Amino acid sequence: MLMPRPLLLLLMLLVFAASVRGEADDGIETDDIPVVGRPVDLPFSEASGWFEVHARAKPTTLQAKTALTFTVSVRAVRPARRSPHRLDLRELPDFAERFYIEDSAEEVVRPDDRTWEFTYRLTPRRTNVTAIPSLPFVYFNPYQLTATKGFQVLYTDPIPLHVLPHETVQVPVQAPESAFVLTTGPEVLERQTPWTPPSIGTCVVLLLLPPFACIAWYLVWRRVYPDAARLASQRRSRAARRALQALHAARRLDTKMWAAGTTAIVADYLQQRLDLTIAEPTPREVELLFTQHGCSSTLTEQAVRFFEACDSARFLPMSESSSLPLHDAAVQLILAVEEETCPTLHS
Amino acid sequence: MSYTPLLIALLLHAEPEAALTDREVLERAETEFQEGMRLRQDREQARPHFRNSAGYFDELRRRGVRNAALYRDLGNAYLLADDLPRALLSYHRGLRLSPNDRALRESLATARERVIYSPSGDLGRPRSDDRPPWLPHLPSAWLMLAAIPCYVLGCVSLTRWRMVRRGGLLVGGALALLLAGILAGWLMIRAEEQREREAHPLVVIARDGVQLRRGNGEAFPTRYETPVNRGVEGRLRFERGGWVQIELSDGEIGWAPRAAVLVDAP
Repeated sequence: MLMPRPLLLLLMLLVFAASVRGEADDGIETDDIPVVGRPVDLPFSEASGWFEVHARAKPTTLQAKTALTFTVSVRAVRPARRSPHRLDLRELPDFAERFYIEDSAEEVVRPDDRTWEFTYRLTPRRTNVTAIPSLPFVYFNPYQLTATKGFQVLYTDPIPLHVLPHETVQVPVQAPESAFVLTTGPEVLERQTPWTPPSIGTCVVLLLLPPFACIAWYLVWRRVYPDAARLASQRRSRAARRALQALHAARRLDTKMWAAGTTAIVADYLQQRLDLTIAEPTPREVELLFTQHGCSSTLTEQAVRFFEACDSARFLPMSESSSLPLHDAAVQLILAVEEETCPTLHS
Repeated sequence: MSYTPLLIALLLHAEPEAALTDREVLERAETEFQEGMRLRQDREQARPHFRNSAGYFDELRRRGVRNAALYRDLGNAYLLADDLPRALLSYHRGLRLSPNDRALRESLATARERVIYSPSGDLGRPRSDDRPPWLPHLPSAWLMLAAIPCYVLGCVSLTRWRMVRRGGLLVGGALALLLAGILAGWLMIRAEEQREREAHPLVVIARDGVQLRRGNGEAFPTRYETPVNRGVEGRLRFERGGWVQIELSDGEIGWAPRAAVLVDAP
């Protein structure tokens, strides 16, 4: 069944009117806001309607560097055609210069259908911030008869603030007491150098110098004191050393006993060095012994004279002082025998 | 904070009286330190003064002043300025000059207590010093000064024994040479340790959370799970491409950015 054309037009008109009424029931109308006439130096809230604006802050007495809550309340006096948007306070120099403004993700609060509340967190930058300045709220008022006067600016009242100095908790420097001790005086300016080991060349010199110096000393000593050197060489002979020690000890005896002791000591020495088999050899037997061992005639003669002197001392009357030459003769004989029988020691 | 010494060096050279004497620089360092002491109840105020003091002391070090007292003051100033790595480095430098300085040794131990080591494995914790505190560290120069007379005495004694053949000289000479040998051996060990120190200088981690890596780059995987924090000490092994390979006290090896460490370079 076809609907008559006037009826169809009427139906379409009713549908359009209903849709327009539906949008109006939302409380927000979408009529255009003119571009011309908007304030260029203030942020526009995008609101369209008739509004009144109030602002409050909490707390109004606070320390610097602590935040306060700043709430802007926008109330529609007449039904709003377009709701206000959140203003960015950082675009307002009066706010940006006085406060640190936190980015807030808070949704707009709607206490009722006609009211919008925007909350901000503001932190005074300094203690000389005395008030929250007026907030300019720019909106479009479609109820004005002329569109050029449609854009209106409402200012909130300034809110006095009392910003106290920021109280800081004093934390002392934590360190052991020894760290607070400062060493003063000229020693602080000394220029010390760490020890460095000597070079290889220095080490070699230090290593070789004492032995070479000692060798030189020894050679000089031998040259300056040949007898002493010879004596030292003879002392390599254990028999000679023992004989010399015994001779030294026998000096405490009286003359007769000393002569006998000296003869026995030298005879004992000859038994060990030249294999003498007789305990108390006569000068003749001593001469024979030295001749058999190929000793020089001088040494042989020295030995014979020594034993003759011993016999004289033992069997003839003799003074106390005459014992000393016999001692020396014994020592000289032993050293002479050592020198002649151990020629390699003196090279 | 780490630029403070450099800043002071620049300021010193920028001043009209650029040729400040060592004495004047020292006076400035001491004045800043005393000011820091005066404000020690508030570390935020005191620390800048300690930093300045450390900067002046460090300027003296750059000028060639080297002694245990300077390094002790420098270390203390850095420690009070909360620059733990440089404090550790200064104490180590002082101990190299004066191993028997008890105050330096105690300061080093105290500073080490502030280092935050890995709770799991003690990564980088220095080995405990088992040396008795009463046992002095004989300076190498002393060892050498003792070894030379012992050696000379041994040579002289043996030579004299050769002359007079007295047994006491032989025994005494042998003992003197033995002692000289022991001292010389000790000295060689010291010299080897010093050579090792110079070849592988001390490294101190300069900031927290440094990850040691297997190679010289961020692309390499980490060597250990836990990072090392500022104050951890090690030895430098290699340096390549802005990275350093360091060896920690227990032989752990890893690479760290050069900017994240302090190297005890002269």
